[in-house]
Amino acid sequence: MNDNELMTAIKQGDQSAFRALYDRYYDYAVRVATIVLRNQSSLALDAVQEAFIRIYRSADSFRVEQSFKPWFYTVLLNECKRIATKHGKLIAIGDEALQAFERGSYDQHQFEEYAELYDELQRLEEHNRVPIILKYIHDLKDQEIADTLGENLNTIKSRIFKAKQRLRQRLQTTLGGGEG
Amino acid sequence: MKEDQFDTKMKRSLEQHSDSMLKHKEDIWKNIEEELFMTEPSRKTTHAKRKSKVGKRIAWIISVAAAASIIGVFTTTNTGQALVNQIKQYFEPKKQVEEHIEGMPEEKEIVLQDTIKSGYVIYIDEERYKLVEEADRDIIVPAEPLGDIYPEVSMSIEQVEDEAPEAAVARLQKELADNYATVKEPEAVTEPLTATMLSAIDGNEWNSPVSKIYVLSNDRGGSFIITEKYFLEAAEGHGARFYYMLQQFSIVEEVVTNEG
Repeated sequence: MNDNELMTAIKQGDQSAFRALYDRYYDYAVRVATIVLRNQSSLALDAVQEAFIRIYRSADSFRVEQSFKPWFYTVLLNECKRIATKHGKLIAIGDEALQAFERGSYDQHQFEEYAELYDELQRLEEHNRVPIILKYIHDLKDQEIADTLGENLNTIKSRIFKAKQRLRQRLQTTLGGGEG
Repeated sequence: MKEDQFDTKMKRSLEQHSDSMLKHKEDIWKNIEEELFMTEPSRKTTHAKRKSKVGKRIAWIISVAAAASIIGVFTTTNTGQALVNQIKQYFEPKKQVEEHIEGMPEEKEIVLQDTIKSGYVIYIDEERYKLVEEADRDIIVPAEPLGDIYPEVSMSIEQVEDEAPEAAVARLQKELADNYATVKEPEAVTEPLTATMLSAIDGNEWNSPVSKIYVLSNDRGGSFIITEKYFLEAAEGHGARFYYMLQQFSIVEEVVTNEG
């Protein structure tokens, strides 16, 4: 079943369809929430949990002719926003990556590259940062990102372009990463 | 750097910073399942324990009710106060309990409140709450007042001698409809106590006021009305704590004797 077929089943109270949707989206959702909420793990888990609860409870308001992904991420990002507002200013920590490095899960060069990219991403303005997260975590198309964020397509294309440009520059200047 | 190389690095960077979160999948599912598919939210982890507690509680209430029947009526006279004191000895003054709040177990001490003269028994966690006696009801509120940005959090317990539960439910349902956007149909519940439950919510924001009312017979033609007030975000915090408090609630039977 595709996403919309699952939602149709969920509207009819099919709990196994809801579980299937959860299986399909949990990994993406928790990654997006974690990065949007700057690695505040417990807040990210709260956001994911509340988003899925909201999805189930609001299933009736989902129109099956619309695309599911943008609707899902709109709900998730709203939860992230609500939780971030409630807990005040958030601080970038990035400790998960550090722990992974300490465990030896990544080689040093890759670790530095990824850490630099990640830090730079977290320094982007919010309106540039979130489209990049959606694009790279779940391969959302520009139009889907625009729908999720309620922006027009050209605005999103421009933001992604600028954000990527800045990230690439950062990677090249700090690590001397050239072509290849 | 080529575009696809950059894309790969970007993707891996984001994955690396969120890999550790994947392991929480089943825990989060459990919480969601409890919230959506259990009769009472957030209780599944304690379901087995709750069942055994209920069994103990029933036996305990029977013995207490029997004791109360023997001892008799509560009055404000010295004799009445002595009877209250006698009844109190049937209750442990303090208990150690484990509650699950927002998915986490909490060991705590709960304390018997001085409410037998009002015809009921309840224990509360005095580190977090206090019971305030008002003219016509008792009200349990946070020990430390919440900030002004939060809607009211309280649980009041009121005995209405001359209003049967059915009439009270009808009246309260109308009152809720006047004050809350969404009012659910009355529902017969057996947990946390056997009662008719009314619930209402005014919006779907984190701070939307929630009211949950339990109406039960006082066994003498009147009603006990227990009104919980909190807000949406506090449903699994204060809402859950009130739920546990009500698991300890019991009516102490009043029997008119020649005493007092």
